[in-house]
Amino acid sequence: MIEGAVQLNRFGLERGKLLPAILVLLAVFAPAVLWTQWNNSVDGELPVPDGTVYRLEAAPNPGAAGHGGVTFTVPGPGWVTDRGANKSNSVILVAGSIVVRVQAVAGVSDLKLLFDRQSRDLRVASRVMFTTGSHEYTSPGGLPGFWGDLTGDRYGGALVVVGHDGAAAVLTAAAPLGSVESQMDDITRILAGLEVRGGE
Amino acid sequence: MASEVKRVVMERVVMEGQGTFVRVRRPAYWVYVGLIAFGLLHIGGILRGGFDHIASALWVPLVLNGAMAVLFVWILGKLDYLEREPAAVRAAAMLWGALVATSVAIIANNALISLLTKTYGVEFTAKWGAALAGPINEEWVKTIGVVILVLIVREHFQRSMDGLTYGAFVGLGFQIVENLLYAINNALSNPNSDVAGSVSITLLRILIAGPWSHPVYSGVAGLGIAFFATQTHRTLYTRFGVAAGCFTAAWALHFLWNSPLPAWLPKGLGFFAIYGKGALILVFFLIVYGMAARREWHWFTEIMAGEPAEVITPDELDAMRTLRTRRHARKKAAKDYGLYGKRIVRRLQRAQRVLGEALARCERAEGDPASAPDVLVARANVLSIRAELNAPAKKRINKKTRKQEAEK
Repeated sequence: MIEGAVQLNRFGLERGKLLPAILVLLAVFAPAVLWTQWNNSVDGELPVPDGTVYRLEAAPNPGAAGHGGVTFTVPGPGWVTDRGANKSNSVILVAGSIVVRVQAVAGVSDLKLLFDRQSRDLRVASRVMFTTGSHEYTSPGGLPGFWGDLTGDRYGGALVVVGHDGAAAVLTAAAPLGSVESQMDDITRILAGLEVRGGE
Repeated sequence: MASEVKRVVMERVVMEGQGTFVRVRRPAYWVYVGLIAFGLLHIGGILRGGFDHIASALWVPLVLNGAMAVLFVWILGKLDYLEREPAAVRAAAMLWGALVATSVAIIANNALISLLTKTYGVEFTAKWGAALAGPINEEWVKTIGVVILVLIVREHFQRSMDGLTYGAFVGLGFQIVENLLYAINNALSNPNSDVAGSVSITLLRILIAGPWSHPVYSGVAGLGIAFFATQTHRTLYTRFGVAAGCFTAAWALHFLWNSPLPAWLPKGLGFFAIYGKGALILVFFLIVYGMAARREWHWFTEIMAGEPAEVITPDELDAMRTLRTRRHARKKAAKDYGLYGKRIVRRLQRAQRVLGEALARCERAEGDPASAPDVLVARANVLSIRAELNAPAKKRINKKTRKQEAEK
């Protein structure tokens, strides 16, 4: 127990202690504010020339042995990427109203299982989308996998999982409802040039 | 003639007693409460989301991290063996690390990683992002946790060891929640199984990073803060220099751990290199801890200097120096008097420590140790245990001594 006389300011708090407390409060959020504002001030949008080749390496996952990667070519002009959101195992591309995310995954034991898990993650994501009408799919490049149509309250799209040899490419495409069909060609052309590298 | 109106400034003074940590009149206390609420909402939302969707995969990480927390609370409690810090303040430190530091660090780290990616590209960020973002943001917010504790309960900071202890608890809270967040992320990103993802990363983080992680970094930084706050007889330059040096050291230890292994290192040596990094970090911490422990020991000898031999003998004072010397004294008692003697000596050592804490409190309050109630009670306890130790009827003499006595 501590007992003692304390002198109070007009707020009923101990005199002379308010400024240090305010400084501490500012200091706590200083890094978050600094980096957030600095990041927002740097333009991350980068035009992606037609024919750009992306090579993605799957991120290591301690519970899934194996390595692999995905290579694909950006089809046609008009694509931009969000540099700040890209990682070594995933890239986000935007063209018009469609947003495409391609991700490399390794240590895959079952493509259907991966497809179901990706569907679940989209169901609980911040921009909720449900997978409907899923079916087996083979990419124009001959990669086996699964295709699912995505439906949300304002967005729709596609979820495609293709791969072999324990590695897979996960492609999610989202566009405002009503414009999804017109963007399908872009998705098909990306899938046509997709290659998956797998191995133990 | 009009009389002059004198303006009298009324000074508001209150006398009130409060608990070990609650200080409702201190603004810093309300800043702490507000930030804990913020952290609870932020981290609570993330963890709840994880549990809502992959609950079955998170029970094992929860149990493992809980066990690690219990073990580390016990170890960290042992570190401060001469003047135990109050449990309420240690818990407050741990809550800061668990809720506030993690929440702010997530926001700051995400923004900095994105900025680094935009500026230097994906490859550079994949390699160096964790080494840059983690130490910069996390050590800053964790260290602020020790600062705010100084502002709230300055009376619980007497020497550098106090800052090391509280800093370590901040780091422990951070480590536990960070492990759970990694478990959630890895469960979701695992292509085959939530359980495989969450359990594998949890075991990896506990077994490989456990002994030399956030409690160590924050402990070092916290020591610097406590040095600044308590060593008021030193120059401002020295105090600031030590605080800045400790923070830089904490940053450097964290940077070292998060840094990628050199590309030229053969794959087979990676395991040893990782443990080598950890060993370096732990050795540095033990050196810093040793310096703080020596200062604690000097304080203990000073505070007990006026006590007579029936309270603490010179040999017993020497035995209190380290955990090892105390254990040695208990083992000797066990050898001479059996298990009973070992238990009595353990109780005596604990009572002598409590007496030291009571004398310190009395000194800070500028009281009289000859009449302070808690000092009198603590001293009486020591004398009572000594009487029990010296009672001839209860001495359990071992076989060898009994034989020697019979031969005399």
